[in-house]
Amino acid sequence: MVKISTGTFRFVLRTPQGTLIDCRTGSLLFPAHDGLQGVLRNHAPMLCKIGLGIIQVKEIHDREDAFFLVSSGFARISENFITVLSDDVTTFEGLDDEQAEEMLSEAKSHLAGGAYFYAQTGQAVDMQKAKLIVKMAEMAAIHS
Amino acid sequence: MSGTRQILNRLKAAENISKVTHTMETISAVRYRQYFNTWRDGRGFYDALATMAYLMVTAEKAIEHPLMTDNGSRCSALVVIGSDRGLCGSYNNDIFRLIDIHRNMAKRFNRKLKIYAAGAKVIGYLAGKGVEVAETYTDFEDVPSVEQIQAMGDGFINDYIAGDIGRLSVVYTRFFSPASQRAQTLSVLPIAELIDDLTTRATVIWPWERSFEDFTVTPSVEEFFDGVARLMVNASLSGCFLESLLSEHLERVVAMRSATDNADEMIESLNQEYNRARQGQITNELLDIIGGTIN
Repeated sequence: MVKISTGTFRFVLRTPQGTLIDCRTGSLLFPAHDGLQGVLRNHAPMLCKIGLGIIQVKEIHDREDAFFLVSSGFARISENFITVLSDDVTTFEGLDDEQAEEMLSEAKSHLAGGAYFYAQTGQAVDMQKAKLIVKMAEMAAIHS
Repeated sequence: MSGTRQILNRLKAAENISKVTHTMETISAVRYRQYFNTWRDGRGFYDALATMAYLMVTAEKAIEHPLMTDNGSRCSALVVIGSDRGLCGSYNNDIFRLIDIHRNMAKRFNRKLKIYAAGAKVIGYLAGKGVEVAETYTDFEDVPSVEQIQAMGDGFINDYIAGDIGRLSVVYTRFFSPASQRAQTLSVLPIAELIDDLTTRATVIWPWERSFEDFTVTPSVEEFFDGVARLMVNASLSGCFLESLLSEHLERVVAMRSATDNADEMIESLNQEYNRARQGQITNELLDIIGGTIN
């Protein structure tokens, strides 16, 4: 019978500007280059390229779930220690309500004028990011 | 001895200089602290990147990638990072000295040198020497944004893969610690030299607990390495800009503190001179009055 692994492991998200989170968590979902990748304790050692998506850190010891939008980077999983390296991370973590709402309303206005914006600039990735920021806000229960 | 009016004018000028240099010292100290915190908080990223690079280059089967091998091009790209403003001691002169060394070396070994300049002082120095600059970076204030760094890094990587450049180096002032900063050249491409630099300056303990073969790598090893190499180049360029700025502000703090101290010493000595001149003037006037009364 397959047994689901329980317990916690360490998760660290690092950028050149600093460490965004360093915690013990029970479950993690991150956007691998080919789809969403789930991690529990005792995961096999792995080096994985990250794609555009939301890192969902759940069951964190002593605090609520955390969410980070990444567009590139790498994950290293080994010995119940997961390090994600990325130079482009967007998050509501550490922002006050006003800043979070500003970021969310900017993303929503991008989406509202999406077709025109895309026709003018051709920046499709920004549109995807805007969608994901709105989705991340729903996950983190932030409303504008 | 100068008249009291002249001494007073010099005193006021010295006081103004002291105020200006003290203000500049305070501004640079605040900015230094701000960038120092970013630098300190980012150390973990470079250590983790070094760990990943170490794992990959110590793989039993050597990874083959165009950025790892010498492409045979006789053209070198040199990114030079200086400051926009002066009054920061020998900060820019050390960079100018390294530029001259690179130009002489390129001439001696018959290599073409493409210079990419950041900072008004460097751009001015190169223009003064009549050196042709491939590109100037003027579209950012202090440090480039993530998008600007990615565009810069991808441009150099594509040039290297296409064989347009055979080396990429950065001349900048490296920030080792608050007690030590030095102008130096960082070799970025071929990537093997950058990996060597990253792993030797990392503060992690080697050897690491696992070898590369223990890991499942997704996507392919080559594709993964390509991504890590690009991240290493971009992160290193970004780090060079940050360390340069950090060193500049620290140098300016030291230079302005020294200038403020000198101005304060001058104010003190001018005060003494003024008091002496004023006392002499009073004595002379008294002697005149006394002399007039006797006569």
